[in-house]
Amino acid sequence: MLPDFPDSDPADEALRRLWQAAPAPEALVPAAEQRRQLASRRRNILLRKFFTLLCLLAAPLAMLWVWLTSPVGALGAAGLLLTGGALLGAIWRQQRTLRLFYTFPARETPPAYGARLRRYYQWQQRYGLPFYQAYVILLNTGLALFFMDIYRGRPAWQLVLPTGLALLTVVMIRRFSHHHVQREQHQLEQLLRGLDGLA
Amino acid sequence: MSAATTALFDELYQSHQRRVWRLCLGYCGGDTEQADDLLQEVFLRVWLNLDRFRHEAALSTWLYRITVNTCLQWVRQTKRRPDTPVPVLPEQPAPPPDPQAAQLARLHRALGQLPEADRLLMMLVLDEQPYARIADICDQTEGNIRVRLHRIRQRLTQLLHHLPDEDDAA
Repeated sequence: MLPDFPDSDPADEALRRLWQAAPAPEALVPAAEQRRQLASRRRNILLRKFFTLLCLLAAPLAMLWVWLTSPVGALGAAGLLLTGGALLGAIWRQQRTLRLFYTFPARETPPAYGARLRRYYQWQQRYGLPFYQAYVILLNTGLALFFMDIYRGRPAWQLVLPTGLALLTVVMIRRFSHHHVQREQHQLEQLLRGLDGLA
Repeated sequence: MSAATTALFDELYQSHQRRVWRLCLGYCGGDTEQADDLLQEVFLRVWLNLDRFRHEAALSTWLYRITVNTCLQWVRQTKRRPDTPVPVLPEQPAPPPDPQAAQLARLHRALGQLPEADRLLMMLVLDEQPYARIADICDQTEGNIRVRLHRIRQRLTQLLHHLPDEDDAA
């Protein structure tokens, strides 16, 4: 019959003794103190989770409310739709990240979690940059269209706000230069290689 | 959080803190400060998820899974970060060499060179976990674990023989 515990080979035994002789953690604090130290971080994470969920639910209602209460035409409505879509996308992504980093179902084994991490990084590698660029463009275009519509009859505002937003779009997109993107891609490839064998 | 959850957290923390820390230390390559940070990250996640724990697995198995998953996530994130400059500290007299600490450092370095999945299995073995629990944590059959461990032990022995001492490596 095979033993329940790993073999008691002398070399193995020596390694096990060595492993278990590791020094005690320096911050050996009682459980209550640990809870006190973690309390604010836990609260922040729960608040972020709650807030993103609330935004996902409330954003369409807010858009509807603005559309009903503001004198917007077709141009303004299109702007609202674009802005809302961009915001919803960004919040969805934020919630996905929070879930990946802080939600651990009891049944999730390390290989399964490795697969989840891999999917996340693969997605980021393929669509991370286009997603960010699309978000910036949609958000600023939507806002520009909305402002052009509600400031009809006030040409100064109609010109200044969309021009400002266009400049902002260019600056935000140019921040991701070719070199930066290449480095980011390289790091993501390394990460994915590191997960080989796990999932 | 309910009083029952608080009591459960405290019990888990008291009874598993050292073991979790040793696993963290293994993932951090022997860096005790990073292991302290990682220990906190693990118990933060335990606390965040404890309310939803429905006994679909043994509590200790779940704790091990969270530990490993947090370590995987943390190692991946740390590898992504650009190298931060190490602050220059005033020179201090070197402590006398501790042979056991040197051996432990060597073991951590050897483990660090194993693939992620193999490192996990070997660390659980070193932590004296029974095969059944290792199989449960990793969701594999005991037979598979035994076969893989045989190969991993050989690789670890090779690594331990061929790794230079830390002083030589520096």
